[in-house]
Amino acid sequence: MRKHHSKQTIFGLTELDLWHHTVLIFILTTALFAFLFFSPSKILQFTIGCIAALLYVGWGVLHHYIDGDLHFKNVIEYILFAVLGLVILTGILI
Amino acid sequence: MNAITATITHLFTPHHTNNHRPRILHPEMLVAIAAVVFVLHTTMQITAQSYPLILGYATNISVEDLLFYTNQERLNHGLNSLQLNTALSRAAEKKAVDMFEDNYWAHTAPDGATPWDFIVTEGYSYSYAGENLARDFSDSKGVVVAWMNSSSHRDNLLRGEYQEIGFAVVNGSLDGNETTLVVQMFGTPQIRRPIITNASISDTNEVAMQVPTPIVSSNTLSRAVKKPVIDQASMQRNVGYTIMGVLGTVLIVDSFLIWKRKTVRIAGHNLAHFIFIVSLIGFVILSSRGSILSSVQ
Repeated sequence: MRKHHSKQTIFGLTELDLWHHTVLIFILTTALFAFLFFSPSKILQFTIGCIAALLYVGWGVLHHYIDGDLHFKNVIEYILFAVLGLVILTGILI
Repeated sequence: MNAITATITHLFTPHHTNNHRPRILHPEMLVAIAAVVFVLHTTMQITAQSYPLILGYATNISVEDLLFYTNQERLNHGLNSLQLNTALSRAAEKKAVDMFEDNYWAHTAPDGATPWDFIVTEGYSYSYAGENLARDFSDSKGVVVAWMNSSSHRDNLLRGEYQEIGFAVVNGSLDGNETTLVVQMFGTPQIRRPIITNASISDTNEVAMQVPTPIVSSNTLSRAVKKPVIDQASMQRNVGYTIMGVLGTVLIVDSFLIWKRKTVRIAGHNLAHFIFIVSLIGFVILSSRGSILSSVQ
């Protein structure tokens, strides 16, 4: 487990974790700007929401794979958070 | 009392009864929450269609208010106030109806018709013309504020050459979504009419009262007012905010307690889920904004 060899920073997160989360923040912030840019079209906005959710799940899988703690339970958790987010967004946009 | 405390602890904090992960973050609970939200939204959609006076989209937009706020902004910037013109209002009405009929949201129609085509068809010969569009707004002031917050719309609204204006406020369905379209058309006739200047007007309210009555047809409203008992859009957003607020708080509490107790477990990173929830709140906030478009000739 690579994680245990890395220096812990805050709340048990390693320096690598912080970099990974910075990437996630960048992805989701970009999605928010795209969402704002395509505000004339609710369909396009929903598509951006779907892409953001997919990238979030992809990020989760990659992050845990690199950390060496990828587990089926983790993947399910990311998928369920993404699905819940999309269900909420669907009700508002469509 | 103990039972309530135990349930809250079990649901919202990591505990030995929930395998050191708040029950609300377990997969089956997340599925249950998603299912409840889905059923709730579906029920609201069906109820809104059957009982629009009880559950629906609240709107309060009027031509008078749009004209008042538009002229107020122009007067605040030392410009002339605009006179409501029936030909421009007819052009705006036809543009709005055309957008609903051909299901588009743009200045240029799918068949290539421009806003200027609508204006010319109504017999209005212009030397300057412009168009601002808005949709999904719940009140007149919100529309004008949104236009003023966008540089292209503000430039259009504050263009000194304009003398006249036309509005249409039309309810309908676009992309399957019930909405109110606002079309604002500016014009300056080729034969110039006298300009009403700031100095000649003492009260902006008078300006709004002195203009001709806007045209009203079966499709177009001079005022779009819908006041259902429950505003569907607000309710849907509030449901989203509540769920995300609860989940976000639980994730923070869970992170803190797990870190403090040094518990080792297999689970996704709370920080990642929290970042996702914060971005989701951003999506919901942005989705509540109306849309605007501007064009100038």
